Amino acid sequence: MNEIRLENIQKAFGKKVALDDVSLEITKGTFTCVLGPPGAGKTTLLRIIAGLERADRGRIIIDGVDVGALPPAERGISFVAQDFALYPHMNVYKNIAYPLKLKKMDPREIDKKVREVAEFLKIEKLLDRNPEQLSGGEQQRVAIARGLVKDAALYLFDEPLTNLDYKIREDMRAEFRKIQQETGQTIIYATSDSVEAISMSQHLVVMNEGIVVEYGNTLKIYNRPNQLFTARYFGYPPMNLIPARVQKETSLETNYFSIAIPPELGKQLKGMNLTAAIRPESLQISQDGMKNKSVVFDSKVLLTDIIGSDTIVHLEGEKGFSDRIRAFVPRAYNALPGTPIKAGFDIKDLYIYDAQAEKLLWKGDV
Amino acid sequence: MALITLRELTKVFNETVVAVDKVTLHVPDNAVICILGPSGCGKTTLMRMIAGLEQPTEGKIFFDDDDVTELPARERNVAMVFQFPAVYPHLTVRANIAFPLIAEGVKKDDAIRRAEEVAESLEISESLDLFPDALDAGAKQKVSIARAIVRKPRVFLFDEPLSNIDPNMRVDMKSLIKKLSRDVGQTFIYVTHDQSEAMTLADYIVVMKDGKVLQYGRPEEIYERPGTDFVGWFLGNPGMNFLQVEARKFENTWCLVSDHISIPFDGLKNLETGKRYKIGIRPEHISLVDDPKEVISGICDMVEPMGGRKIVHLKVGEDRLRVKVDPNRSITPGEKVYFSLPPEHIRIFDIETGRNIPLDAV
Repeated sequence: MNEIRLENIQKAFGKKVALDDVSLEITKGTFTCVLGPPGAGKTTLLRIIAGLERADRGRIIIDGVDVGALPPAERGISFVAQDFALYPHMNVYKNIAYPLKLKKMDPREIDKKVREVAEFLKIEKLLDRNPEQLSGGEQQRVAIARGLVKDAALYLFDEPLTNLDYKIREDMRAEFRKIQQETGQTIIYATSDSVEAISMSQHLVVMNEGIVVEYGNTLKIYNRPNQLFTARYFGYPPMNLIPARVQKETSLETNYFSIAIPPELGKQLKGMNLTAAIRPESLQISQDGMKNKSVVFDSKVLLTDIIGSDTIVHLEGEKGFSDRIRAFVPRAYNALPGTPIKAGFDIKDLYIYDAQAEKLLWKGDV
Repeated sequence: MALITLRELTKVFNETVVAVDKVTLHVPDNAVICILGPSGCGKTTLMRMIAGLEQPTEGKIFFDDDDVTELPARERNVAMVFQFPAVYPHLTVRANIAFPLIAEGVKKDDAIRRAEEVAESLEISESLDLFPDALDAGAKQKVSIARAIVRKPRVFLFDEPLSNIDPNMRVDMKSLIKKLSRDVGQTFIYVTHDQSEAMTLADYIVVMKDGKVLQYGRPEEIYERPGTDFVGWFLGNPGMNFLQVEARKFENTWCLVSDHISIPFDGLKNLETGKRYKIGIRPEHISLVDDPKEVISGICDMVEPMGGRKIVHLKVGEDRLRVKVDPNRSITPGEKVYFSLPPEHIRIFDIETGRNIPLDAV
């Protein structure tokens, strides 16, 4: 059995339910991100897998063995917690080497592994230092190194890059993914950052309030979020969500645009509270006409956020700023606030959600 | 409102650690200035000196024409927002925001009215009756910001206010702060290590490293014309790519060459033949081409999907390049890829000093 399986995990702290009937299958050798806001249950999930916390109910099966009763040290798991601790009396080298020494690995082999992982984490120059001489970000990288160097069946990381400088994060994202591809390690990585989730992981678990909202192939979920929560949370910038309704069976109406829809769909959606959703990158903007998009509406520029070669253009919403619509333009684009502008998209990029049940009802590409 | 001048400002800790090294800056009135740099570059120390929370070892600080160097923090009339929200847990959001005004002697009704206006502009009106504990980190930070802007200080100082906020909320908070700074129209000094925050918010960016100012200018200017290789790398997502080349002259044509590339290049008056240089080019300026004629090739090492775009990592000999491509373009690791480096987007840097070498047209 080449997998990690969680079956109906339940966990409460007092009255607060931290995990509610969580079941998952993680294929060995893959990189899985657990994405969700603070308080979603990500950390509790990792701690239960690692054995640092006991589930109230449910089973954890690794390689066919129920590990629920095993102490953390016997689970073959490497866990880098967010509140990691380094050994203060050991230098960086010894900190990283420690788990290997415990396993009585050959010193030359230890040396090779420590230097390899230190180079990958760009801390090779810090090996002789003591933890108290390091910045928070450097300590974090030492903790990651110590976690990765171990020989484990499963590697758990709890938001490991959160406290690092933005620029280091950018490099580490790519390096993390590369090392996983090269070593074939099984990684479960908790994050609240959509960019990390989309750029690093093969599989994605979206969590909210102790529940697994959605899980599967990362790009598939990105292209087709079945739950409104996923649509709202997984994307950078987040998806545009616009209240919509069907009054006449042949058209979907919002305060910005209305589009023709097949009558069968119209019948199904009539009278429901709907949310029309469009990714910012699917929304094209232009100050002139727009011929190549099937739906075009008029708006006004509120703000342009130019981030180097990308721009997030904020367009005026019904209420002005608070319900603004965002377009992602993959180049520098500047326009003064108040500039009239056309925004357009293709029907294939439109999602329609049931606003009450928060479920995907229809996507334009089917 | 204030024009801020820093003159040779220096801070040395424990007589040995130079945190800020002779920084001279003129901050124009009513502008948003972002101090951008990696951890440990001195940006927070610089801001704490402006606030009066840290006494400079040497140098002067002026607000308009007033020398405030010796003035204690509370007499400088600055408002600060820190990394962690500063709110009173036993007061409601409304009372929290009104507090600085009441402390200044503003009548209670007026203070409350003003607090409600500010809450509205920060989109926290519905939380006015709540206590801070009921709010998430983002909303709490909005209360801190509201408490700062409710007064009319001479200067606003923001120290990484978004770094502890859920990334999904950060996009919104960023544009909210941007709108706010435009509406309030005062001098904002904003410290961050996140280049996208600086690029979005700033009228001017100060890039710092090792206690020194590397470059000061408009965001687009710094992005387009980085003064050093570090600045080129630090700005941009991902940052500038670098390749090592040699400048050569073949008959009448100048070229930048290495084992893997050769680019005919005009305007190399400032370069020396046979000398090695570092060239920089941004990921969005490298164009992948299908025609393998007279173009450079590399091997795709990794593909990072990013939603609205895709980052392709290429190996070109010993160098690695990141290229930004359309998300619909299919490309797989191991594939040979042809690309071109448009000369107008190439920047040249000295290998030793990392300084940009301006190119004069010959």
